[in-house]
Amino acid sequence: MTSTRASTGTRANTALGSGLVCYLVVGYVIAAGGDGYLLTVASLAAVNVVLAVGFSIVYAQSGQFSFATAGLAAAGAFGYAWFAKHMPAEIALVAAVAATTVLGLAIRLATIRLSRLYFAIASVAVGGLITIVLVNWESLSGGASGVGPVPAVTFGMVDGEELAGVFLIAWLLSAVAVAAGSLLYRSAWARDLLVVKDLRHIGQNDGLPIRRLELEAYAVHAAFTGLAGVMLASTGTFISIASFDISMALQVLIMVVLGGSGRVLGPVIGAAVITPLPEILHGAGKWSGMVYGITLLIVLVALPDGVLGLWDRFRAWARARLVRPGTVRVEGGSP
Amino acid sequence: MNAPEVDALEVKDVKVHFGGVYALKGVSLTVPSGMCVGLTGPNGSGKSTLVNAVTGVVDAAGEVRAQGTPLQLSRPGRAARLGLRRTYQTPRVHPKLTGIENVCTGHRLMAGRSASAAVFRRMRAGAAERDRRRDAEAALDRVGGSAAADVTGAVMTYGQRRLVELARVLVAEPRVLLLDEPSAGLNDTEVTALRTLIADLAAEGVGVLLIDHRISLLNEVCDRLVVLEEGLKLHEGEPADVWRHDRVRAAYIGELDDAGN
Ligand SMILES: Nc1ncnc2c1ncn2[C@@H]1O[C@H](COP(=O)(O)OP(=O)(O)OP(=O)(O)O)[C@@H](O)[C@H]1O
Ligand SMILES: [Mg+2]
Repeated sequence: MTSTRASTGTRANTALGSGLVCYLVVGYVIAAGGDGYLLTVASLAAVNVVLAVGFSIVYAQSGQFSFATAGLAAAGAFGYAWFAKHMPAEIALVAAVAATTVLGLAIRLATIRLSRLYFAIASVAVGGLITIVLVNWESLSGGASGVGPVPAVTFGMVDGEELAGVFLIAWLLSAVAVAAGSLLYRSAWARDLLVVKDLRHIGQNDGLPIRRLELEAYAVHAAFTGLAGVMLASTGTFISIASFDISMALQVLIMVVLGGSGRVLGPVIGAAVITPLPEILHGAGKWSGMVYGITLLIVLVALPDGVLGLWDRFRAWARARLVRPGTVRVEGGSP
Repeated sequence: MNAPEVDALEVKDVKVHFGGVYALKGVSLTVPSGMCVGLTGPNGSGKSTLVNAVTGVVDAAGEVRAQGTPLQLSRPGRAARLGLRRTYQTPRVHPKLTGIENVCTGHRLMAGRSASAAVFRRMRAGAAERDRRRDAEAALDRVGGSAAADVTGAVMTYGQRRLVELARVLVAEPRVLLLDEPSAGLNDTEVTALRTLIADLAAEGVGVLLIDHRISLLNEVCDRLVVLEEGLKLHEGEPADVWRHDRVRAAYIGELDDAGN
């Protein structure tokens, strides 16, 4: 019993390891061969992967609907730009992520008594509030015109002036975020979150610290979103508050729903599919917005549990087909 | 401090109403530590509502003490801190988690169950998780639900859900245990095992409040019986005496025959 469990843990680690190696190879190939356009889209994909993993944990696993994504990402981005003026970029990265996490915790603590629905509504307001504060805090954000040039995170490994190198670091950061997301998803903590999300009273009566769990999930979301903001600032030399609007939250929501829940792979798939979609649909010209919407609608209706759900159903079907006729499988015992 | 004489659960004049419907009109009862008290009565008499009132699932007025400590009512989770656990009339397990995983969530050991432990203190988190799994396996085994260990809640049988839920509260080593119709959906062998289990728990000092419709189970395992009718206590006493009481017999017309009494 114990040995099979240990081996499933090892298998998950092997899957994560090989997945990350593939992920990094893809990044390296893009960096080595991609033109400026591809590098820009791939940088955005890396940012979206981090956003989606963080949102997936707070929304799909913990049931907290937060629309403050753009506000938190802006806090990360402008925080990084400001810190980077006063300290090395790598330390500025850590400081900006920490600051965004603290901001997220403060937001969630202030709203902890609200029901889930009211928190969702409040988060729209809070996200908007952060952007308004930032626009008016000109020394931090440069007002409506933005700030720049923002130095890139390089870890001393790449040339901060070169797009390919800057992209590679962003890709590396997203890989770290995916690894962390995978560990979080496989943890006892994530299991508790699921119980609090779906069986709240029961979790409470079994002694689960539901407030602490929800706060932590929100802090994780804030940290990931802050990191994504830093990556945006680091990969684009110039940042403006205009690029942080509510559509960011919607896009990330779509990624998470489309990818599927329960594993870190879901949001990664969602980000990988959604990021290039507007680019691919560019050919449709003035109809691209509509084609985008209709495509999404069809995909979401066809895949109620996301891509992961489809894959799991396919696997169950294949396994059922592979059981030889005549062999009886007994599942469980008690009638 | 915690002398053994302290009652596991004291309920005093508890009232619950849903709009204009009074489900409990002032009920008092006591469950001493190490004893099993049966709570019975016709459908809709307020048995589940009493458990819901104690655990904050419904708003209630009155006085409740668990392990001698007064409990703030209408606040779910307060009773849990005092070592009180409950099961539900309709067993509730998480459909996406396996039996073992469901039981693990009931464990009191909180080590390694934070986001930071999952990423930064993986060795310690792993060790704590192994302890939880070991205890969860033992608890499932104890209730006879091992067959559900690796089955997800979504595909468990009704009986398996009951046993997994029972294991989920037992793994917390409760001092007060409220069971809402634990025998419903179990077969005869499982009911026999349940009877032994409840007797053992009481022998270990746990105060058990047992709601059930199986009169044979109540008679065999309970030290006292409380009969509710329409939100009021109809009668209380030793099992053998309670059924001789005329008003209890009247309230139970039909049901006593079903139970073979
Ligand atoms: N959430 C609720 N909202 C409204 N009325 C309720 C609610 N819960 C219980 N009631 C009512 O309160 C009364 C007592 O219900 P309760 O479930 O406590 O009965 P019970 O003794 O557990 O019955 P059973 O043997 O059927 O489980 C019933 O009239 C029921 O309809
Ligand atoms: Mg009931």
